[in-house]
Amino acid sequence: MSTQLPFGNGPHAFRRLRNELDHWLENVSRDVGDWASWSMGGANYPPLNIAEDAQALYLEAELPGWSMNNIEVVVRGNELSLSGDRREDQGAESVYHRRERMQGSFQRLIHLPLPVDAGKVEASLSAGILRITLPKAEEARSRKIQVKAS
Amino acid sequence: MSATTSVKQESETQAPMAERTRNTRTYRPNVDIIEKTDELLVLADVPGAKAEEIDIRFENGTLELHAPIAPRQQSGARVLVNEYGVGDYYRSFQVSETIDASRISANYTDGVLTLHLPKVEAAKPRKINVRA
Repeated sequence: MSTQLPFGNGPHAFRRLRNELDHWLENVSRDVGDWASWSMGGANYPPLNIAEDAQALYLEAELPGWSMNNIEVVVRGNELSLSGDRREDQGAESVYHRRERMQGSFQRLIHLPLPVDAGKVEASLSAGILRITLPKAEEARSRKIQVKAS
Repeated sequence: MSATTSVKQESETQAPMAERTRNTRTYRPNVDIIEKTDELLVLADVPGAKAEEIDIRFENGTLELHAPIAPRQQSGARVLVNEYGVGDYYRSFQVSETIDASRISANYTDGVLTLHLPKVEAAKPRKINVRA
């Protein structure tokens, strides 16, 4: 009984296997789409720094060259969505020798660790740094409990 | 393009032109280098800098840029997520094109440093007409 490998037994079998895998992975990316940020930056653009104090959560991201026109910040419940889309065009007579800066679209969905007051969220973008202040919702603020002597 | 472009790259070398009193990390900014007919354009991502503090040098075909960055910790806040560090930016390049150093100009907007490096006349591409 001879075993027939799905991609043949010859020397080109590996190449065929590899092509199949590449095609499959491409299709997966296309189906998942922008939601999982399969575009240029992957699911990790932009990198984020998040801090917290008694009043609020503070989120900071570096987005040099982006403006409030091409990025979007949406807060819904415990979720913050940070997304953007830009295409820089240097014109016809241009040759790129290096292209390291982020182009295209990104989206990050951040699950906040506590509820925030969506109506009071503030965002600002200055010198390429995005700062988002998310005041904690009333119920998330810590309250000092008075211990009464009885 | 690979996904690693989003990770901030640390620089192996400290900027030679500035001695920092505190011990901060130095990062290598992402750049786009574009060759146009008349000039070389360098766009560098250096968010959080001050235009007047950015140091640019061009000498013997080497372009160096150094942007000191002030720390930005939220005072009194506890860090929950720390995906990137804040530190100075430094990078140097070998520029093969013949650049007219006296006409180099730079501007800094929205965290991006744009350098215009005009080519010397002789380095510009010239269309040669072929006579029949």
